[in-house]
Amino acid sequence: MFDLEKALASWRRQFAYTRTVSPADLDEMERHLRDQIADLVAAGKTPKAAFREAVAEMGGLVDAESEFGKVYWQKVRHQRTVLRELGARWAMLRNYVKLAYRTLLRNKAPSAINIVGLSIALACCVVVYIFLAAWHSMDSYHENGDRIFLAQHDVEREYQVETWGRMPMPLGPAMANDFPQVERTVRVNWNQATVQHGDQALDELIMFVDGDFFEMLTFPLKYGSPDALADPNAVILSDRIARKYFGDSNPVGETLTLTFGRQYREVVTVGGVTEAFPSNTGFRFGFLMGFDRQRDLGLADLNDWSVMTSGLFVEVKEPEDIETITAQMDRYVAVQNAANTDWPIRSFAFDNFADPAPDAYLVRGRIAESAHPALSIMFIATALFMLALSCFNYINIALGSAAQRLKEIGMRKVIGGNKQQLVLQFMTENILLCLFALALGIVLAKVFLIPLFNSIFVFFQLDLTFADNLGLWAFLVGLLLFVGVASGAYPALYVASFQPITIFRGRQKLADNAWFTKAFLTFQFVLAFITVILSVVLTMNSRYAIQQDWGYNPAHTLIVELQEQSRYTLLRDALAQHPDIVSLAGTVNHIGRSSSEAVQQNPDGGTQTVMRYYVGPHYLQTMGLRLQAGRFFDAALASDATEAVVVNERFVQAQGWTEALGQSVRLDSTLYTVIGVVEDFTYFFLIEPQPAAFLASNGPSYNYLALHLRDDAGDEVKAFVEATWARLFPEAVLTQFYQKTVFDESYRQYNNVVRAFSYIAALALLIACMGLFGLASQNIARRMKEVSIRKVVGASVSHLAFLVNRGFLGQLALAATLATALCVIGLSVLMSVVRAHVPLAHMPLTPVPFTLAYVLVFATAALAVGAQIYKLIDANPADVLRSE
Amino acid sequence: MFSKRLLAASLEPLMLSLLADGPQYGYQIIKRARHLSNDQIRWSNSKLYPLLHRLEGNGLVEAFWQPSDSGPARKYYRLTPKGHTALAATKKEWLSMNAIFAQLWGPEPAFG
Repeated sequence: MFDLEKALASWRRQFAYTRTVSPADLDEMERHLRDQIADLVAAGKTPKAAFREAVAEMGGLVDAESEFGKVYWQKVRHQRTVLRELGARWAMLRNYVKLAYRTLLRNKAPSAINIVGLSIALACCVVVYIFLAAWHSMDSYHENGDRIFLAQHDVEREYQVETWGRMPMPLGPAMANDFPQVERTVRVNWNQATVQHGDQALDELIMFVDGDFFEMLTFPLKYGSPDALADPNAVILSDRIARKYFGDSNPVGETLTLTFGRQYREVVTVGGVTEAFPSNTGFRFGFLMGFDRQRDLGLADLNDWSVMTSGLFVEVKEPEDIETITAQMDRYVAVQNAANTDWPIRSFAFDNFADPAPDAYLVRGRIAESAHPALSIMFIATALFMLALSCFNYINIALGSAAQRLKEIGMRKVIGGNKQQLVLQFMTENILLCLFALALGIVLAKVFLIPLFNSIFVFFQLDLTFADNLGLWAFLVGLLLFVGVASGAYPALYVASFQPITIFRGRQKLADNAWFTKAFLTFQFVLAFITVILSVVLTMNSRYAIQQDWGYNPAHTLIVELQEQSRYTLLRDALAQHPDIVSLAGTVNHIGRSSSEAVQQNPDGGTQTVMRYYVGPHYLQTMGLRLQAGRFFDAALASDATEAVVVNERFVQAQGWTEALGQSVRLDSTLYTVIGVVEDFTYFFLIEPQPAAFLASNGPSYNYLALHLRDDAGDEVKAFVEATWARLFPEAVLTQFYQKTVFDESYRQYNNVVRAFSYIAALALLIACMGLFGLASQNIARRMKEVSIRKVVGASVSHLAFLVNRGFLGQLALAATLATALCVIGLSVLMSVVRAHVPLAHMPLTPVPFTLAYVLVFATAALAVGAQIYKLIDANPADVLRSE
Repeated sequence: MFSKRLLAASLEPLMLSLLADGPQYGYQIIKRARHLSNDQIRWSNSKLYPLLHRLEGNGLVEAFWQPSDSGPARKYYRLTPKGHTALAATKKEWLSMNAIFAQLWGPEPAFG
């Protein structure tokens, strides 16, 4: 029998948890229903039908919520319960956060994996943001930036118009003189110098600048005074250079010795140090000296229109003045073109320094770094790609772990939680997780990615600072919300839409893997395999290259750079007596450092280019090159210096000689006779030996002195050379090195690339394995019952593990095959392209690196699914099947 | 039937005018509006109550609970002095609009 009172009470209950409809509102609605039902019954309807019609007209929960929601806050204000309301909401939020926190703690493994995965992508985003922020605000911090312009000119070269940033020397002063609108001009010119401090000598770039430099540009000084630019014996250092030479102390008053072109020596006093440059500095310098010093040092004629200076800054009185000036620049075009006929300038132009044109990166020799769009696009693409991968993996993991929370979801719904609340709760969990990930990401960026970036991009240094950086804060908040929603919305909405009844009857089906999920996983693993294979290949190759036989024994050979040829005789005589020096030889060229090229004319009229080394008569023995046939040079034979040549095996092969000795060779039209053949030798890191010819040079104009030491000689010889050098040439800095270190710099650079690549491979592998983890956990959750039944019937664990994961195994195998094919084809195509230009030395492509890479990837993947397999072993079928 | 936009625009003036006759409760207002308009104006509950609550919030209308013999108490609404002023203003507006239409269209043409 229909009971109206019970029906009305039930109707009221559904609003019990809806905060937007107050009890008083419900009273009013209920009274409305009663009136309407009474009318309908009076019109002849049954109470049940009347109730249904009235309630239907009243509208559902959602309608009431949304319509009432609109006036809700107004009512709250009217009833002066705002504080109570806010308090209630705050309590609700706190409850969500607390729940979220507990859930994260309870699901430690998936949470940790999610946090780490997202944090990598977020770290990338943070770095990309700071990079872009600095990149696109380059040099914008100069106070008068809107009035400072960089001069540039168009020049026609080989039927192409190029834009250059260098300027005729006298142009700046001429403009300052001719145009009243010009406030001041500052010329800058780079020059290389050897800077000597104590026993340290390094090649540095010195920048000569006009005296108004510090009035025009905003480079505050930490120590000293800008007036030092007017002092002919002073230099102003950047913060970085000051630290490099003097550490953290105030270096003002300290001296440095500058040597320009190895002849103009100059002792200068440090007159000032700038503050550290902001990270968005595109125009940077290390050493500043007054522009006129170039004239005193004899480096440049400052009044010559055919001489160029590296750059010219022009500051005008009003930003608009630059248009008037540009229009009148033609008068200088004529002057410069008359003086410099090799460089026909078409026109001069000006680009704002603080806000350059988007194509400023096309200006050649621009003195300030400019934002290259390719770099921006590359960085944005990388960040978005990482973000997409991570979010996608996150979604899979979240869906997988939702399976364990089905009962919780059901319970919440049954005791009155509506969908909106569940979504809110899941989203809060997600945002909290993203917050942790963001914090970890910031740490990652700070301690790992930014140092890595700075070590790769030496010209552009990034810095992560939070003070005074509103943009960064806004970006971080935006990023948090975006990632929170992008990664969490789908799982939250999906999970919150489950029906309690299906959950409790155990019939809730979790979505099956769509084909694109599988394709995506395979794609991730193809990337992982490729990067891992390549990094293994590169690493093995660097070992291979350095461990190859160099064709001589570099271990006991010490090389001294003479710098000035006149030093040879003095030094040789002083060193010759040392007991640990077995032999020593002067040489013009040196293996690993310098050689020249010679055109060899074959008797049949063809020509080929060979490497030519002019060496002292004892050089080949001293270096320990291994003789295959014939003999080395003999200083006693005068003919050796004019008509003898020693060649290497490649040379002989290239000629197709069966007997090399006695053959005639024409190099650059001079005829030589082969007197000896040496084994091939490595002349450059990672480059294959080339046909080479040694010609004797009896000196004494040598650039290098090679010393062959006794096998048991230690560093005493080095110290002895140093002492001798200091005694003989006190004004010059000694450069000496063991021959075995001659390729160290190339080796180090190559290994830096290899290391950077290994990081990328590790990231790719990590991300792919997280994707696998997510799918595996989803998979296990879905098949727990099936697995339990199999267990009960007696399936073995290894069989089950294979059964459950064979899909993944298939995808991994497919990925491995694809990656192997791509790598083999890609590498051989790449090598054939590269070897057409550069004879790269590399190890043969064996299955070894591939096998290593497979083992690495499969092992990591096994770890990723291992936890799931453990869950499968651990699960008691009784527990799983009880709900049936 | 009236267009949706006209209904929306006339909702508040109509409500104020209906309430000008004295305190009424929600269901009663709906019934009166329906009756007066020959069934052409059928306000839904989800339109009416939020409007009443908003007017109450704005101080144009005040509400009070009145015990009833036929069941639980009813919530009655009546115009406040501010509501009467608002009604006068709105009335002036609608009448002058009406006068403009009357001038433009002339006397209602006789059909048939």
